Amino acid sequence: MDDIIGPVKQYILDTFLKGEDPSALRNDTPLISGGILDSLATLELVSFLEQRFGIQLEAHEVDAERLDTLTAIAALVQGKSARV
Amino acid sequence: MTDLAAAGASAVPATAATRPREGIGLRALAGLTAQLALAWAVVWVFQIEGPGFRRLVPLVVAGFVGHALLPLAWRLPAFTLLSLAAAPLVLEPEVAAWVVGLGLALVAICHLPIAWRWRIGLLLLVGGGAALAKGALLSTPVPPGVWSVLAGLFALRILIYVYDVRHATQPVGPLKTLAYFFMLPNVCFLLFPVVDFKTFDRTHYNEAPATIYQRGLRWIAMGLLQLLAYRVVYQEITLDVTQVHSGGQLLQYVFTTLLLYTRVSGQFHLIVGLLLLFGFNLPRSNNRYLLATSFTDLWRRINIYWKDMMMKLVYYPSFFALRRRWPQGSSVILATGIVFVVTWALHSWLWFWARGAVLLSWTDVAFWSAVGVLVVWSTWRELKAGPKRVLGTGAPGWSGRRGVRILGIFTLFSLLWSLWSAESLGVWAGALSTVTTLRWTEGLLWLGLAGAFVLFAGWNWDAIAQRQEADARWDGGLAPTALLCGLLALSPARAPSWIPDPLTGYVQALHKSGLNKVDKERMGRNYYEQINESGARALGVQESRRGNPWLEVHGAAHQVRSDFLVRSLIPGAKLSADGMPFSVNSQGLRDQEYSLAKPAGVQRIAVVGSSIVMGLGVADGTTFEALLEERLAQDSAVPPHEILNFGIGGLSHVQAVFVTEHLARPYDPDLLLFTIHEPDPVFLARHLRHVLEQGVAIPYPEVARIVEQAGLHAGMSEGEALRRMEPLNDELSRASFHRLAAWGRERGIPVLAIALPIPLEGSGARLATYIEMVQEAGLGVIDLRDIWAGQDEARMVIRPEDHHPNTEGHRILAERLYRELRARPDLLGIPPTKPAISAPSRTP
Repeated sequence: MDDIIGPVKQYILDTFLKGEDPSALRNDTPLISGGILDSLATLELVSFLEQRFGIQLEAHEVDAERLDTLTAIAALVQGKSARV
Repeated sequence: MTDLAAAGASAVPATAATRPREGIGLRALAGLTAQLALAWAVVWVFQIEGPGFRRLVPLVVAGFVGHALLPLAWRLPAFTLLSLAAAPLVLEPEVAAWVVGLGLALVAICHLPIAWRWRIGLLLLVGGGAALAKGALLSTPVPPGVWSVLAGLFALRILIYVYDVRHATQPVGPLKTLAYFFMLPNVCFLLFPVVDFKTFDRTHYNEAPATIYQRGLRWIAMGLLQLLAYRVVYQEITLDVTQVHSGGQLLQYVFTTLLLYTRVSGQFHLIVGLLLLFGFNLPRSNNRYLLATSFTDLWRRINIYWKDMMMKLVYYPSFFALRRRWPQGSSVILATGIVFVVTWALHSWLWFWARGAVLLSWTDVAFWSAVGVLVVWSTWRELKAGPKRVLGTGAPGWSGRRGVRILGIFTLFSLLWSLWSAESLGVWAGALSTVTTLRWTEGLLWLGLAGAFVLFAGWNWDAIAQRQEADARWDGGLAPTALLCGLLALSPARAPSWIPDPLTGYVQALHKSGLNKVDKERMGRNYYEQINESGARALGVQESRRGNPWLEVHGAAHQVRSDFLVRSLIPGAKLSADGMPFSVNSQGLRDQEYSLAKPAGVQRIAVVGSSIVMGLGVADGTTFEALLEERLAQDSAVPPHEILNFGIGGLSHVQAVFVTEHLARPYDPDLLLFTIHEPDPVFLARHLRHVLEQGVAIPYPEVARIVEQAGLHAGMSEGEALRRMEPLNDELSRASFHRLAAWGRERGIPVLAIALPIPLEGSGARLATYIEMVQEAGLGVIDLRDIWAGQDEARMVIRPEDHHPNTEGHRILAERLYRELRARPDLLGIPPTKPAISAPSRTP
């Protein structure tokens, strides 16, 4: 899981949260419901996940259930990778 | 705040390991119940929302306590049962049975063991059939009221449900499905937030119950506050576009029309708060939308559930389809544009189910196009630069730049909202043209208000609110308790003595749950007159026409004329509604046959007026005019009388003069009675518009002058005519009363006005002005403004949405008129009573 969470966390910090304290972004920090990822940022994150991890996401997979926390994102990527 | 685990925690999914404590202590429950009881008191005292909701509140209070004490596993079944029990409590039992039965059929189709394309096809087939039935194009045994309620439950949620079930990784339980579609407060709120099924499922008790319940109560209190604030805005502050005649009024119209959305926001807070009381830890439905810093920000703050639905069903699927051919940025822009086209179409779809007519208007197209373009533009800017995102909501400090930016978005959105609210583009443009008349004092006032707004909006209210919510005192019951107690302190119907005089009107407005003054007149406009008027959509007259046969009768009984009267009853017309005959005699009067020549020894009274005189809503022979004739005939002291009914639907005061001179005069009346009525400005605007469209000669110089002065012309919308005539209406009424007075004097005929209010709470205010004018013209008045006092107005009208007096109403009118006329024997030709001569006393 850490090999997924690490790059994703770094991407979010570099792209959307420049200058923020990295330790404040925890694995269970709500990203979508907490207002950090709006629809545009979510689509940018989707592109990053697809390119970085070689997976393909479907429209119905873009929701708070799967993308709201780093832990949830890692689980999604792991599940998709296993099916690739 | 650096640790954000708590922020937005409502959406964090609960697992078996993380699921919080399931129960609640009795003390905590007692505190929550006490707050809920306070909310109930506010609903009761201020008569919040409709009677259906008020009937539901005790069920909610009792249901909440019982539900909270149940083991977790029993709570969902209990909520489902409670929701189903609410249907017959709010709806007619037959309607409730149809709604539940048809709803279950729709759910069953979603779960048929056939391919999805067949299931969707079946749903479309059923939906199409229902639409035909709703549009009265297909005859079904289903009562008409069922379709609106069913659509309120299913029209949008079934789209979400099908999407989620289709992509679900686990089977969906039937209880959750039933709870989702029949969720408790929905039957009495047909305008309902589009709750997402997955969120509904995922957030059920995902936090400690006490936390969820307390949040729900906070939102209920905020909802009640907004609903009461709406009343003040609606009753005392906002203007209708037809009332805009100066730059100051234009600004008042533009900047207060958007505030009417507080009703929707208040309802949504109330509804979502109620759902939280049953463990559904849903997110907020509206979030400080007046403080948006961009159009994308506004889109994310206003009606959030709608935005989420659009993201899920339209935006992401469109984006994923488009990106196969287009670059990412272009796909985002195109998907955003598609969202707004679909949003417009779905609003029309919802309108159809609520009103029974398709909503197609240029103001609608212009509004959604403009908002769509602005959001696309804002999205494009964000794509290029990216908004500054922070962990949390940032510092709660003040920034002038933020305040000015918010003011700009608020101003632009208010302007667009005023366009959406206007009857037509022409009416809106006409109102905007008054901006040149803005006086410097008004400009200074609005500049001051703008400055105050910037000072307020400059603070980071998201951060302030988040800090407050993190504070135990605010997170507990203190804030909602204080708010609800504060509202109750304003509860006496008369403003408490400690309220300063200038504010008493606002406090009294908190208790006014009906239509404001302008909309009361508009209601008159809608149900008195023609079907195809553009203003009809504002009050859904299309639907009421479908369900109200009297309005069909009203349309069918009139013909177009080629003189100034423009319309009159069709001689010999035989119609009926609600089993009651509506007949017009051979001379075009809603009356029995009368010879043109007055029979010897008979006195005639001509009654001139609009649809109430004509007797719309009552059977032949039961109009107040006919009953009065009967009553006089029974009175042996009264000489023989014939009373002739010259009532014509939607007759204005100006037309009353024409009817008197041309229709009533040949019958040689001995007394003329004409009604003065509140909706006259609407009747007048419509009449003059028709006169101009048909190129009919205007026989009265003052009318021709005022038409020219107002700039009326053929092809002008009714709303624009109404707006332009507003400052001149009284002048025309006054001139009409003087003409009637002169007509009576020339012929030695007494002429009296009947001040006739409709049976509707608060009606009659304008009549005082008309009475003054009538008296100034030297005419007598029969003042009936108090006629409905002490009566249950709801029992005096033909339908809840149609305030024409019914048979009982006409009986009361006739009886009162009889007494008024008997008190003035000279009007009835009763010889003065000779003083009694006492017998000479005999002296002993």
